[in-house]
Amino acid sequence: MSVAVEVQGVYKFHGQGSERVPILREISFSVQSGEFVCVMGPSGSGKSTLLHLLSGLDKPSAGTVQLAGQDLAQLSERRRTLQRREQVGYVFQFFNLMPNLSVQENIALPLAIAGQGMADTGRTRVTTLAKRLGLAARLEALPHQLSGGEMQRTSIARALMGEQPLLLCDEPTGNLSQKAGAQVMEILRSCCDDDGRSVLLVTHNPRDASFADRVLFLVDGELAQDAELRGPGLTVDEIHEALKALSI
Amino acid sequence: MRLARTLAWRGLSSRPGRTLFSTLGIALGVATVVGVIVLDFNTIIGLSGPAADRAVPDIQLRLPRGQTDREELYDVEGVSLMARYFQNDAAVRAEPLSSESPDIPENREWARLIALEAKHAPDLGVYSLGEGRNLATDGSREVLVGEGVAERFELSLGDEIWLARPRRPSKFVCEDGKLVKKRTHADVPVQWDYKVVGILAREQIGRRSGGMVVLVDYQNGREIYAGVHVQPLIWANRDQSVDTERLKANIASSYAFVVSKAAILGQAADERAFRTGVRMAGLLALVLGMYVIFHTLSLSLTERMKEVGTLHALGTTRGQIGRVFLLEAVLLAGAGAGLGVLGGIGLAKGLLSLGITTLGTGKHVSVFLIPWEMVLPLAGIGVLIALLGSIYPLLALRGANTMAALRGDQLSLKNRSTIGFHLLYALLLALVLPSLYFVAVPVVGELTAELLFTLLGAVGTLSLIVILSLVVPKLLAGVCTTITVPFTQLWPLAGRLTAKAMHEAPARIGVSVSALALVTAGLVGLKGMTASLEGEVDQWASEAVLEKVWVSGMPPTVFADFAQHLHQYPGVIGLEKGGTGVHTPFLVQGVAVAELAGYGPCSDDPSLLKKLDQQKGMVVSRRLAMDLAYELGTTVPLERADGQIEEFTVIAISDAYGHYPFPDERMYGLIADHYLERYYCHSTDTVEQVAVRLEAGVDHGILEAAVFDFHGGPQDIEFRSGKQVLQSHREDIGRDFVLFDVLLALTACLAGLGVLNGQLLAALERSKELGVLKALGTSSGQLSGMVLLEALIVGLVGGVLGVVLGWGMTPVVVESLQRLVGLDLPHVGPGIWLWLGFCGCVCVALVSALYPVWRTLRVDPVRAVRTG
Ligand SMILES: Nc1ncnc2c1ncn2[C@@H]1O[C@H](COP(=O)(O)OP(=O)(O)OP(=O)(O)O)[C@@H](O)[C@H]1O
Ligand SMILES: [Mg+2]
Repeated sequence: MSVAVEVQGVYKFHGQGSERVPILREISFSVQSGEFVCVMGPSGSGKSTLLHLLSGLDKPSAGTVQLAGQDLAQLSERRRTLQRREQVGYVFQFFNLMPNLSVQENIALPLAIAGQGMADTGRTRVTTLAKRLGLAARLEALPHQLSGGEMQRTSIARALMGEQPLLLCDEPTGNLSQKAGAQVMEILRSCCDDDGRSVLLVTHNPRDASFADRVLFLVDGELAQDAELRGPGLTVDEIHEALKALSI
Repeated sequence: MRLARTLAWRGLSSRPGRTLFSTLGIALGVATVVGVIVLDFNTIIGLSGPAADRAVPDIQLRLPRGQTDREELYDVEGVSLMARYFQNDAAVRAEPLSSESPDIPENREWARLIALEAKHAPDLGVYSLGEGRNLATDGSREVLVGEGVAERFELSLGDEIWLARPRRPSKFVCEDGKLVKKRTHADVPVQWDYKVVGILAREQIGRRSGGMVVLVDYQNGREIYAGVHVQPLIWANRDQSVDTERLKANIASSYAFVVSKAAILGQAADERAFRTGVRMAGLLALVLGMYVIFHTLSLSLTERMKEVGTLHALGTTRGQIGRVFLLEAVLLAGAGAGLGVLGGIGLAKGLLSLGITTLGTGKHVSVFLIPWEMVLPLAGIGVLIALLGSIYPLLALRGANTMAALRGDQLSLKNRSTIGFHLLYALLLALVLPSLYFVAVPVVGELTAELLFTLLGAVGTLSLIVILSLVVPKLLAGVCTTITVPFTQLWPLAGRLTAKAMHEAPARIGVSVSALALVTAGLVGLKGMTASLEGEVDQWASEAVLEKVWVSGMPPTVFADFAQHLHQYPGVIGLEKGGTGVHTPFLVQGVAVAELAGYGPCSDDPSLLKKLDQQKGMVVSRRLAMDLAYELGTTVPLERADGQIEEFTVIAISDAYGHYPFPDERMYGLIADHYLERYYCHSTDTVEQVAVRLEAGVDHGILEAAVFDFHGGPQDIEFRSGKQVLQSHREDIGRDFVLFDVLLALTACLAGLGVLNGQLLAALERSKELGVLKALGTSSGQLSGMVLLEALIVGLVGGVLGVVLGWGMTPVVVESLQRLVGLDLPHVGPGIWLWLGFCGCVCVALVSALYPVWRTLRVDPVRAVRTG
């Protein structure tokens, strides 16, 4: 089994000099391909920061991040960007849709970035994805005409569009109803099971976390090693317990 | 979906206001500069006539008596090429005259013989060949024939013709003031055998005498005219890099000369200064236009940083993102430049049709050509600067905090790259743009130290403001923020918001303020300069016209009787004869010497009267002295009617005598009337117009009565007072500067557009913030107050800065104009225009804010709150 992403002894600081605050400390873990890993932790514990490091958007202050076997620190800015394009599908915490592009165009954006035209295959994929995420009727709408949940689902569809081997999802269900959230989780699960893609999910919701193979807990910038839960068949209660134990 | 194309297009189309006004800004800048250049080009072409009409060279020189060696002429600075020349008639025959073919008219045709040194003839550019080749330079008897001759004798290349001079005719010559008929004895001209090597095209010289022209080498021409005196002339072209006045000064002391009008059109010092000024206005417009695109590029990126961050996070490389912005800049700049070129051509056409040219107003130009070799580079410079500006996103991305951008932090860009971009743009606008400009649009005339100094001064001022506003924008923004404080008392919320907005966007404030300041300074400086020019006319008028009355339209009047009659009346000091001039090449007028005793230099120094009357003295006007570098004692060679050279001496430099409103000429010399009669057979005993010099304060009615008394009634006699003459001169200055008013109006629009664009982009950039403010209950009044207050403050600061700058610049402009043009300009100052400029500046700023106000009010609070 190959490793989708591997983190070794990563530190991340913000600020300078005496105001230097550690955000992440001594983080080490890996995600195998086809694995569904969930990261939970209190607000401000550094989850989003961790995803930024994994995708190569940000650089660790110390330690290494290997994405698909490549040490990101060794790569040039351009190579790093290309690596991210090829390896990572990203659902941002704050959607980040392109305000001038329609839903359909936003979803197809990864293809365009990769330099492919909107070929028929692309078009059918967009429609299929939109249908699966309940966006079929909103394809021509612009982001500011969407509801919060629709925006979120569009950003998920965009992340799935690129068919990259690693999906980084930063609270993808925050604005969704329980039912819609569960549907999204089903989709992510099938990405692992059917397509062999890896998913790293950040969430506050134990119900979502129960879909994962493994749950990591990030507290004050450190991984709580002992609390880590392993599936399969994690239950919501089990996760609740763990959170309570860590007083999250 | 091509990424760059789609994103660039969406970026432009989703913000129509931004796109429209940015394009308009570039277009207006390019249009102004293109308009100026096309206008100038057509002014020169149109007023000097097309090249096909050119049948004489730039300069025709006549050697002084006794001087034959022309080689030394090559040392004259400003003359680039010369060839000996004369012209006369020649009999052309296809068969030689002999006992078998007697001289019957059917076999002979008269043609114009042009003898021109074969070696230099082609380079003079006075003829063009229809077919064949130029004359050989080895002296062989070859001829170029006009089409008329070729058709008449059915000539083709290689044919032979015979040329001979006519029998010597009798002719009238002016000898000591009398036209004398000179008889010549019968002679038999020799006929010469010539080979036709070329046929002249029917233009330039080839068009003379209806194409009945033969052109031969100078020496061969002399051979044809052997035994007859011919007056050799020298044809020369001017060296374009030497100013005409220096050229004239260089040759004026040794040669009599005629300079072709076409060769020096627009080249006189004042014309050059005017045209250079117009070009500077063009440069100003171009810089302002580029300011606008700077706004657009720098602000649109801050606004869209979040999008850029997202794209980057999704794996878009910096190059790809750069391409989006590059494409956007290409589209904006391309559309702007295209529109600008069209607009500029339209502008030039419009101005020409109104009679406005770069050589003043009221001139008719019928041609319209587009000098693409200058227009396209200019448009290209605009596009280039815009494109270089799109490097910014690349620079910015390097320093940008993608994570912050992803979170939607508007301030994610406030870092080093911004400064880098501003530096880059300052460099582009202050150094690269002016340099490229002067490469594409050469300076008019010679690049003398003075001109260079002036240009550097002007460009330096421009650059200083540009650099200040771009590199240390905090300075101007700080001043603006401080000025806002008192307003905060009046409108607490609007005041505080304005201060904050200005504090956060120093570049926008800096650019707006300095654009307004530049235009205001331009206006004030120009008006100051115009005031000085008017002052100069006033000065001249007080000496030359004020106490005079011109009487015209009289029946032929014996001057002596008329003068005697007028002198009986009180207050009449002296009379000057009108319409007594000859062109030699400058205007030389005859004066009745005794009449000058009562005023001007002759009343100060009566010995001048004798010099003028008996020692070939000449009084020259100040302009002429300046133009030809004449000083007291300078010898002036004048070409007499018979072609001989007569030398006069400058005895006084003054404008007190000799000015006539028709034609209005300020460059002339005065000699005693009897010399004029003797050398030019130009009798001045009877006159139809005179100028009468009166004592100060004398009622003109007395003079009118005296004139009517002499002529027995008013008839068609017209009177024109010095005051009227002065008035029309001042009006002329006003009219001539209409072009500058037009250009200033255009640049004012541009500066307004700069303010508008900046505020508009700020409104777009801050639409989220504004929307939230609205959602929280901020009233429309408060919001529009915020925008208007900012415009007011920008206008106030720009106005003060511009007025101070313009006020300080005026003496410098006047000083350099004085050096450049050689006018004696008094320092008058811009006067009322200081206030008008300031008020205008504030108005432009406020008017420009109207659209941004509207746009701000239209910000949708719901959309602002919804979109993450
Ligand atoms: N540029 C920065 N400078 C200083 N501190 C920062 C910066 N960016 C993030 N932080 C801090 O780092 C910590 C981790 O932030 P991060 O966004 O990773 O939290 P998170 O775990 O995703 O929280 P949430 O669940 O609320 O999204 C926070 O305390 C935040 O204040
Ligand atoms: Mg987060």
